[in-house]
Amino acid sequence: MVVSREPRTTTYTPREARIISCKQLTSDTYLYTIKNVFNKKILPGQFVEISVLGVGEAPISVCNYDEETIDLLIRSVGNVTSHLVKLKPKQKMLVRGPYGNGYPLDDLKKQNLVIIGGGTGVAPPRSVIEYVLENKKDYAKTSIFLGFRSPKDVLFKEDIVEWKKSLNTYVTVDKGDKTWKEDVGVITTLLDKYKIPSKAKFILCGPPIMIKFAVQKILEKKYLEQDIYVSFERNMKCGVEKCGHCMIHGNYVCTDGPVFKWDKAKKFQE
Amino acid sequence: MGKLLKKEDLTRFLYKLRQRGDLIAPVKTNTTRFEKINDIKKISLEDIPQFSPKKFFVPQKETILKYDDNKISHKKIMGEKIIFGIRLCDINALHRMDKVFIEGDNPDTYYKKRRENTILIGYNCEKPLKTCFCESMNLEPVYDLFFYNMGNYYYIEVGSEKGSKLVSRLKDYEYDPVQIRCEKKLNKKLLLRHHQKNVWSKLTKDCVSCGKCNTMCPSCYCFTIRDENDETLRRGERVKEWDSCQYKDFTQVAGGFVFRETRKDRLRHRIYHKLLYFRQKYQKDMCVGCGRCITYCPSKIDFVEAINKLR
Repeated sequence: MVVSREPRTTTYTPREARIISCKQLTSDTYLYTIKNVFNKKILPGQFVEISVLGVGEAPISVCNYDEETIDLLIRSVGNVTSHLVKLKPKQKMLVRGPYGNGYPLDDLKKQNLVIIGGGTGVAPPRSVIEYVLENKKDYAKTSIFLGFRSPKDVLFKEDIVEWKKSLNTYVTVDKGDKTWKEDVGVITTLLDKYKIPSKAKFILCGPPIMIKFAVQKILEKKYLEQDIYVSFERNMKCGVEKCGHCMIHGNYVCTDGPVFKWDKAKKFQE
Repeated sequence: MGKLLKKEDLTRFLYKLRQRGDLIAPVKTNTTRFEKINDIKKISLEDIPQFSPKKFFVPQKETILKYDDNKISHKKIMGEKIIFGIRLCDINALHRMDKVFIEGDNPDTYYKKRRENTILIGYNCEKPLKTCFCESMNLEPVYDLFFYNMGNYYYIEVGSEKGSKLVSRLKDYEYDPVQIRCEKKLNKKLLLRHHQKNVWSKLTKDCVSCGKCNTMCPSCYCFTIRDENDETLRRGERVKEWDSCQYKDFTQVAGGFVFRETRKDRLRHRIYHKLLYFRQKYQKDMCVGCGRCITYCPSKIDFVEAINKLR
């Protein structure tokens, strides 16, 4: 007879992580830094499942990390995130993960990188940018193109100042105002306006419409499909390829992705 | 080499087994379905069960953790189970679900324990239903014991060491059972080529997205996770609950966007998951040919016929 007992932890049990700091970046978006409580090594582009007990879980991408801390960008759009943004430093956040494949940093070594991010989609590549800055000698030229709706929606303003010092960084907004001195227009216009190396690897993250047109533009310029990496967003429940929600054309976005090469992703059909 | 058990000795055999843990077997009421057995005489082996015993492994609703303010606790892992009278299709459905819940980096804690603490004793189908097509689905002998009806006796095939220990005292017997033959066949196709064909629109013409195909299926396992508060709104349970890929909100993300908007997209996704995507990942089909999704579909949608007609 097997004795029944309570497991200490299960596949779906979150861990407690102390909130170190919280910064409001725009009207609805916050940058949280929490303690890194994972035993596993994190990769740029991976995500975690954050819990609010009594409300549910939401997949949130890691937007920077080191051995001690993890940065998470949280925009208050859904049930869980609207609760999350009420949390204050010293309180606990419940997290499990890290999940997903992340960006293949080794494949990107010695390469020219072009990082394209739109809106909150800037968050996942931010960890790549920080990684590149720390390991600059391993990477060739890096260009960053960021797009936001309006000047007041621009995220990571302080980081952008730092990035501009050593990387070609361009920011555009769909609609400018009197204070806005940088580019105005959709992100694809930047790809025409500024020079990009003739051989490069592209990292794209943003709304599906941005991905669609940016990929089109990149391919027009005769870059290769296999040099384009895109991040996918899907409804996710478990994060560990069980619940079936995020499956697209036989691929689990939670484990086979969320980063896919375009030569594979272009074949995805619902 | 197998074993022989007199039919009159079955009750005693099961009585002894039940001392190890819960005995679960088909019972005939308004339907035939698997229940925990208190009275062994109530077991009914005659009809093919309408429901598979999947609920004993992936319950319709299962607590994955309990919370009281921020204190998390878990429910206990239950003891041994003996599933008796399970048909070969349903045994294989469990075996294929094992791939999802046990293999890989993140096995499901409760499912894994449940499977480890289970003895599967199958029962042979003598007469498949008209909608059965298991013969086409490469079923494997992945049981502990398997019973064949032989008049006054049961011939018992041994499939595992665990099973062998249970029948070690029974008489040896040699018998070559006749394999199940089904009228209905599934002519497997390379579905990848047919993704954009019209056939899927035609097939889903009468679909009402009720999700019955999912609930009746012995191998459909997709689930959602949600929190249920009690009246204090501080305490509650996080539950893992059956979900259906036929529901529109299955692919809905925060903000409202739905990826599989039409019924055609959703029904085709189910068929492709069963017969293509799962095979790409695990080298097996996620369908075992029990035919329940066809039998119990309120619109009588028959995906097997649709595939058979593909060219």
